[in-house]
Amino acid sequence: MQLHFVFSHLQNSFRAGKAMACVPNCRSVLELSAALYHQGFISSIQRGHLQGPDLVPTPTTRSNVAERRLWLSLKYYEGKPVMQYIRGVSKPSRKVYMTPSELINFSKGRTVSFVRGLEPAEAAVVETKKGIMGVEDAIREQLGGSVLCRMK
Amino acid sequence: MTNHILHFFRANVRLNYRFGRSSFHTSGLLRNISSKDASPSENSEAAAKESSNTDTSAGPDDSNAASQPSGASDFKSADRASSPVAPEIVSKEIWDTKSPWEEMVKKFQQDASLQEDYIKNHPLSKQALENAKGLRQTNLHLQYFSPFDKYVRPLDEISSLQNFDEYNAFNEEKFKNYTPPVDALRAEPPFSHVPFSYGGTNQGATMTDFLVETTGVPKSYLQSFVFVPLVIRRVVNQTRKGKIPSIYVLTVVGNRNGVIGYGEGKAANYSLSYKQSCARAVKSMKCIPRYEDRTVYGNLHKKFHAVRLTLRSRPAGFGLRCNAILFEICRCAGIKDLSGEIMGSKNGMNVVKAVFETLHEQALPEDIALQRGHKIVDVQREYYKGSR
Repeated sequence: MQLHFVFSHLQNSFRAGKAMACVPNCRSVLELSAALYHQGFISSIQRGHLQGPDLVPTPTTRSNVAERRLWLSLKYYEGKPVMQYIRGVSKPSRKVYMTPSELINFSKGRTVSFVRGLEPAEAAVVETKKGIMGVEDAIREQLGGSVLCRMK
Repeated sequence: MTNHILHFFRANVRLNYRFGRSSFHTSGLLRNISSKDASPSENSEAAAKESSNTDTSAGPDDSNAASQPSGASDFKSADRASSPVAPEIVSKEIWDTKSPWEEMVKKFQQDASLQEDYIKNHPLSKQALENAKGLRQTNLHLQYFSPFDKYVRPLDEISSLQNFDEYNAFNEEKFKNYTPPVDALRAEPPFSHVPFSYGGTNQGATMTDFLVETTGVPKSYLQSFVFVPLVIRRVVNQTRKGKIPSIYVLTVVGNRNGVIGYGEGKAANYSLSYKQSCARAVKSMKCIPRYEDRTVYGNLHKKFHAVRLTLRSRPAGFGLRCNAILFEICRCAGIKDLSGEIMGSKNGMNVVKAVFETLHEQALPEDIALQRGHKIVDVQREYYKGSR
């Protein structure tokens, strides 16, 4: 899965102290990046190609789709990365789905379907029928779905 | 087989309870059996009574208790009339009559409420409630005897043992008259200065004098600190001349209000190594952040060598429910509510070091909000006016 690659690549880039992380250009990754941006773990999302973000805006066409990438600029504070870890929760071998009430319990810190609840300062991202969003947004819109990842 | 017996047992219990039998459980069972076998004459009489009653009141539905007008005459008849397996429908009159067991239970409850009122309104309990600070489940405050208490001694024979009450941590009255010297670097030493010497027979020097010399912390502060030697081991260095033993001591120091440090000392005898470790501990003292001055910020996970440490913040009045070494460190630090586990290695020295690292590496919510660009509100403080 493209998303699981993104989780590990982001974590590695943060620990290595990189300024930017290069991830595949697709809908789910773009929505995940938007969720991370709104939660404050990355500072910007840029479209680009293999070598770096676009200096001049270029459209994605059939000829260049294989070289298109997304570039996420990472955040650091006092020499340490803002995101210590990002871990997948729902896996292809074992999917984790939660209803809106279960999501509320999960965000409060209670264990739901053998998944440990969120600790203080921990965030999670959920895939709902209205798209990929953070747990708080899903609860506000009273939506459930599969919990994709948790990060701190 | 067992199901049938249980059903019979339950039905009998129900019947005894309803019809005013004080006996319960097995005795009721036995009585029923004996009554059935022993008294055929009574049966016939009761049967006659029952038949007469039923004739007067109703027609074919005489198995139901609704047909039986009075309760007293129907005790025996009802027992035998109803089968042991089939439960019986009881009339309201019989249902409302209280058995001696129920009366006993009611009386006990009344007495218990009287006892509770007596205890609540007693002046001693009121005094205890006033003295209790913070949330507590009970008014009972038992002294905790930790395994490290035998090693904890006052610094000098003159100074008294510290009172290990967590809520009376920092006594400001002691330091009211303390005025720091104008020039700290060239401050004159206190009167009757007797320099400490390791090898000499110096009867005047005490532990506090030694610490004042080595650390520069004033005597009044040192006497308010808590020194707890947590790890004492006999270690040996093997040389070509033979085995050279020494005593290793690790002490933790705290002012019970957020400042702690630890120090290690190693010497040929215990007293020297203890002094060494105390001096190093005082030198290494540092502030640690505490949420509401009573617990840790959030949940902390740490792996230090083979020690896997987990600390969790808990609400006020929870207490320190954790390892003995962790408990002692939290008491010195002024942490009052904590839950935590140590998995993997529980080696004392490494546990102490792991705990110190975690407590210094806590992430404050203000910093996290700054990093992620969020607004932060302490709900406890704003809405409920927390313990501050």
